[in-house]
Amino acid sequence: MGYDEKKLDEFADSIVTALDLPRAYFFFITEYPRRVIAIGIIFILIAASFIPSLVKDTTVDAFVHPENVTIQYRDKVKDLFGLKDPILIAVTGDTENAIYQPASLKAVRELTEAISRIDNIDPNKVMSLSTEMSIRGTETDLFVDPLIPEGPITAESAQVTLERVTKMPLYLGNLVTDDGSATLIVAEVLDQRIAGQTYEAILEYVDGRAPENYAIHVAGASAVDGYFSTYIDKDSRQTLPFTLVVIIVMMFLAFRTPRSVGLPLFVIVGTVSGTIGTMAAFGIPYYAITSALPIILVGISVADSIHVLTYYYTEQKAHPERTSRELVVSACSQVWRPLVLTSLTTMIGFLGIAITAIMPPMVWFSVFAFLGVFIALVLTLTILPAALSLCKPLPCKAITEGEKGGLVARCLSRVSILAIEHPALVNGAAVITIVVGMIGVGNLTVEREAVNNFRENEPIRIANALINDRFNGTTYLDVVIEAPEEGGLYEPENLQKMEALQSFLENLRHIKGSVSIVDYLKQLNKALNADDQTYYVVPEDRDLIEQLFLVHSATGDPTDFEEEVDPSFQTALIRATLNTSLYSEVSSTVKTAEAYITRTFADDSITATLSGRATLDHNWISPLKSGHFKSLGVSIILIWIAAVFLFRSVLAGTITLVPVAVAILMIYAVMGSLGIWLEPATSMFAPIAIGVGVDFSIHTVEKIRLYTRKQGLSLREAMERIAFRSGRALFFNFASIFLGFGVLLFSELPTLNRFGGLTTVALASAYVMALIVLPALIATLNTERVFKPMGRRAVAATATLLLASMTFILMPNDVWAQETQEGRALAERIAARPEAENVDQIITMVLTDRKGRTKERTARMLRKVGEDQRRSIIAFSKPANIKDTAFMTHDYNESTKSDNQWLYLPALRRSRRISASDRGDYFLGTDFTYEDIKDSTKFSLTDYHFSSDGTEEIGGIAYTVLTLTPVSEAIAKELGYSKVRVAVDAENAMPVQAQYWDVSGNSLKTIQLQDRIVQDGFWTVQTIIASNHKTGHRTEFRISNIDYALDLSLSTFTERKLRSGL
Amino acid sequence: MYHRPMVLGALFWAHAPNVCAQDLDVSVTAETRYAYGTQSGNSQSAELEIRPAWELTLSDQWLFQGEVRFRTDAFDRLEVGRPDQSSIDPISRRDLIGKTTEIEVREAFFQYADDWTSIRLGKQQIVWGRADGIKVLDIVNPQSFREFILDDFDQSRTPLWSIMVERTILNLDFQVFWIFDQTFNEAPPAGSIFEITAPEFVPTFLPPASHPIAFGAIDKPGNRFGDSEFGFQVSGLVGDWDFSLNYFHTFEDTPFFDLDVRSELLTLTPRFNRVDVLGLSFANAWGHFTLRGEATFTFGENIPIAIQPGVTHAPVEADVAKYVLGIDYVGIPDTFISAQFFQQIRLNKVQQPSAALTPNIEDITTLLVRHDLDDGDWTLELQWLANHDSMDGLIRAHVSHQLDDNAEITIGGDFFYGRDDGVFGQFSEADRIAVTYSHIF
Repeated sequence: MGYDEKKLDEFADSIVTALDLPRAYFFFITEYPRRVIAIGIIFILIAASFIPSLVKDTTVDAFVHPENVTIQYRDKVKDLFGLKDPILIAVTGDTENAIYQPASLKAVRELTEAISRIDNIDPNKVMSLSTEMSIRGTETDLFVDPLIPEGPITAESAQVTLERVTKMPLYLGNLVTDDGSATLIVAEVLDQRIAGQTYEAILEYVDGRAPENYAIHVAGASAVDGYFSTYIDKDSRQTLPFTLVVIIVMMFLAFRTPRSVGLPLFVIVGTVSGTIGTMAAFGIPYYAITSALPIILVGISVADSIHVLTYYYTEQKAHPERTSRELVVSACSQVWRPLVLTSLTTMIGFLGIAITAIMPPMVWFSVFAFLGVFIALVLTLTILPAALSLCKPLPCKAITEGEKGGLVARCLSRVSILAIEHPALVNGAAVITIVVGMIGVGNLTVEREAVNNFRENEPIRIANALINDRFNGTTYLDVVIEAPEEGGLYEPENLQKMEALQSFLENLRHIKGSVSIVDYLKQLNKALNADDQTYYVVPEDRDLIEQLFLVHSATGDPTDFEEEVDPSFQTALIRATLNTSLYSEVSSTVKTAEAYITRTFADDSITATLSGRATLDHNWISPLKSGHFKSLGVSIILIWIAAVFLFRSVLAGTITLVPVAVAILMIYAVMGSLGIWLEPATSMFAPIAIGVGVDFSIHTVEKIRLYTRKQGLSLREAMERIAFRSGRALFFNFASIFLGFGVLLFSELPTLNRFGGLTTVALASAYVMALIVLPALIATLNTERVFKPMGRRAVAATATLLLASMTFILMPNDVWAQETQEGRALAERIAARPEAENVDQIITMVLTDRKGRTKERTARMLRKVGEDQRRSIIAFSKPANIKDTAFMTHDYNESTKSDNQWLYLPALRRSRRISASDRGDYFLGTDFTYEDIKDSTKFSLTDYHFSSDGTEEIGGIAYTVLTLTPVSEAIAKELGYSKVRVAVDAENAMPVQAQYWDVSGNSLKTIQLQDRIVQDGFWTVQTIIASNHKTGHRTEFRISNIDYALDLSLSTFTERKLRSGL
Repeated sequence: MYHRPMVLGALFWAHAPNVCAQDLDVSVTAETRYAYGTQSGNSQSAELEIRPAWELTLSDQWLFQGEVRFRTDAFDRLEVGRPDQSSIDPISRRDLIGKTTEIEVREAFFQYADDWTSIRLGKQQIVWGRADGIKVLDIVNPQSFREFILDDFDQSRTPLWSIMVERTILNLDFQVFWIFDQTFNEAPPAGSIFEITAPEFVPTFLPPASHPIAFGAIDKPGNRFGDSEFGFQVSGLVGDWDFSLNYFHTFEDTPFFDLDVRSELLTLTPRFNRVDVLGLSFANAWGHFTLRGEATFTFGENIPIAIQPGVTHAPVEADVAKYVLGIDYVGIPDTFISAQFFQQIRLNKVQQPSAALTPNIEDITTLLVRHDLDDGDWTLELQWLANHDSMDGLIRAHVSHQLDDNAEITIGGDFFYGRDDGVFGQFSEADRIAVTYSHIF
């Protein structure tokens, strides 16, 4: 049935007018203004009371999910070896061997002692020439002595130090430069969060203590991060007052009345305190990028207030006889709709970022920006009208020139009319901007270097460059080596594998050196062979290796190797040093190392896992670019949907987006041409451009629609009126935040300069586009066409289409991973591999945690394979605390039918239906998920895409590699895996090893299928080992008493059987 | 003289060493618990429980399973004095040693099980239903209210001498059982910490009785065969839905009080009401959610009403429907969240509605949140039961730590709130914190 859109609109308007709910609402608010203000103040005070408890987290850890394997292993390195990112103090001379002089060595000794006493420095983890030992020997004796002989430092003892260091190659580059001109003091901090203060304390101490002809420099990743946090705090304290002053001045210029400054300030303070206070109340930390949040909120709350005040004063000008309350109600009744609409679209934009962002700080930033916009709206529509109604109506000098407006309004009007008169010119310029922007996107580089956040002449930046140049470097790449059993790292082949890895790493361009227990072992071997260099190798005999360490323990300090290997010789650390902290170089080094480890550590012996600052940087910065574009894309699509619904026109919705889109592209163009990196700080311009920029558009388009369609004005007349009312408000809104952000250009921090510069360009672009391009576009397309309402069905269809596109964007890239024919064929062969129809077996499970503690369980498993399904029950018999616990599953072949699972708990004496989506949960403390438990030797054909991935050698045999990628993000989440890499014995379609990656893409676990035999014609695995790389936990299934000859029936796999035991 | 179950337990204990080792699985659970009343400021209990259990495999199909519970308490506050056990069938009674020590056979049955059939004969628990913490369909075994509902149901449920046969036919489990053990709910004696005082469970006079009141001896059904109970259940999977249909011919486990006026003396005799119960249960799972439910329809259930001398001489009966709906959510890693809604609806009008001690419709909601840490070695559990009619409830918070495979320690508190005449509120003085250590040998 057809209907007339216009009549419907008129009908809706008549209902609204009859009811006039907004007017009733503002009458209510102004009826009890003091109560409303009191409630608002109470809210602000309550929220603000939480601000002192706000936790700051400016570490890079914050950008990585806490369960990320790199964080886990970084903590493991900290726990086991006590190593983190240290502060480095370099004592440098100008000549060769300058450091082996009494004056410099004395300075090193004094500095070491003094630094150990500084707060937040771990006194047991300060390493320098005065703390480290030399290992030397004869054929019969081993000597472990301090590098600097004890007692007063003389020319002779300095010479001894030179000789001892020269014989210990592992110190060269790490502790002393190869030419002996400089040395390092390496100090571990206890609490990274206050590393900035520690850095300053060290800086203060070393000031003026350098011996003549020597210099002292302080740097290191820990110092850089910590100092950056302190630096940004100081800088904010300097720039924020200027920002406020700029805004106050602009507000005063806009209306020239005290209330027009005081009331918006109140809304600003309320919005910022309410948002930051709520953040503190929920325990969400204040991250480095959160610094941009107050600025956005200031921008948005100023905008809201300016619009209300403009309408208020305009009403006052038109109706000087009215009371304050009448003026407020009248002004607010006109302005509430655009305010709500712009706030909603801005909130939707932030929502899009929140749901797509990967890094926790970005997510929380968007969530609280969303909340802040809401609070600003609420305060603007409650406290502001309430407070205005209490003020006496005073004329505003700034709005005194009737419908022709003031200077600002006249300028705006002329510019808009010019755009309408020359639309081709304006549109052409916009198209050129878009093209240049697209080129800029192509040139956009993701890059970051923490030290680049400081000015070039900043001492920390100079020190960092010096250490990277003269020593091995300031960035650490750690590799954690783990053997399956205690003492495993005494095995020569394992140590040789570590040596090979070190050698590989040291040949990489940016790795200048590495240290591990292997270096000390070689030194010991050489020392006990009269310092013969030919013995600087890993001995071939395990007993000899153990003896060498035994001899050392008799002579040296038992803690000498605590930073290299754990006391049980099961876990060791290789610490390689990079002479760069530039993300692209660090990332390429990490990727190369990762590929080597995957290739060479795939067998059953020791495992290697990358950690350290380099890996952390690689992991958290890598997803920045894709995450940035994804968030932006989703956010823009959501705003587009909102605008299409708002104006009930695809064309009007699209036009609304043009200023924002062009502004963002303009930024890319600037970044691309000036070589500005896309890094976390610069990437934050996008939400600001969206948050503030879209307001300009919505206000303008909404008013054009109102004046042309509903009031019948021409576009030209509409633009004149807009210039007088909204345009003027928009100008002062733009000017105040433009100048507010502009203050950042005077910041001490280059990062903030870039951020401020980009943001002002984004704001200016969005404003100019709204002012010029929007009218030009509408003039070109004709207002009738632009605002012609779509039918409701068309709106719904458009929304569905747009949502579908967004879903497409949100889908993980893996979904589009190509499945290969070979991969699918092999997967089908695995699935079709004959398996016994009836299985009865005993499984002994041995669970071993990171500390080597074991638990043992015994269970009996029955399985029946039917035509369309298989059913199994696992019932535990030992230990006593889980005796009779049983798990039953009905697993259907048909992909659309979900599996059914039950768990029988003897304490409840009944079985419980459990969710099949629990299949990604771990089964009773093992490292197998419920899905793995069903059958570790087969993989669901419907859950994954399969692709062939070459071959891999395990234990000297080449196996075909199959890569499994979940078919959807939902399935990946259900399974808990984003990828599985399976080595398959292609001859009998039997997997031998499967490596799993978690949903964040980090290495999760490896399952090995060993002791494969053929029993009764079926390939059978007798040992299955799952090793979790995140937790260090390991589960071994030993399968025995296997019987395929019994005759089971599917029908008997019921809850009765689960209850009555097997 | 009746057969003493203790003899049976002792018999198996004595013969255990003679049985071939691989056929006999013996375990002993030792549990100590100390509970401190936070309202009263006194210790509630300091108990030691030792529960030896035997599983004697006689053949591939036959086994004997037994468990005995020795329990001693340093205080005599949970069951003051020597309970008379009058609601317990003599064949199921505990052996009391003094006021604070008891021995009870918790389990003693022979089981036959093959792929299709299970038979259990002996003292056992038969558990129906799918609800947690609320009993709608779990009505086969009576319950001891020594600690109200704070003890594990496994330990507070009173096992009964019975025969149960189960048979799987066409994917469906058919169960039929016969109970020849006339045991009913057991309430703690007067003066005990968890003495039941809520009007709906004790004789309540309206207006207050004007004559002296005397309690007659409990009048239990006397015919072991004629007054025995039997039940039937068919359960299985239809589509993806677990379901069960149940029928139980039983006595209500809570007595009604029959009033007799003899020469100015009001005599109250606790008697038991014979009822038929129809029931059903269901469960299904989607994504991270599991939906569970169970319902019963009881024909002629006794309705607790205030006793009005001269008016009330017989139990007031009404058909009653009860149901509980529960949703479990496991979408948060290592966390189990479960919410339940229980409703009891009286389907017939009571003749004197003003005398009814319970509303026509009664609602209870429960919430359970359990979170595992450190691979399940630590468990945090918070449970909240709220009765929305009497505005009372119970909050339970516990932390358990699995020290190793055999040892566990639990620390927690149970806190009641609400009106003194409410199901939960009546125990508002019984709040407690308790620590339990259990070890399995």
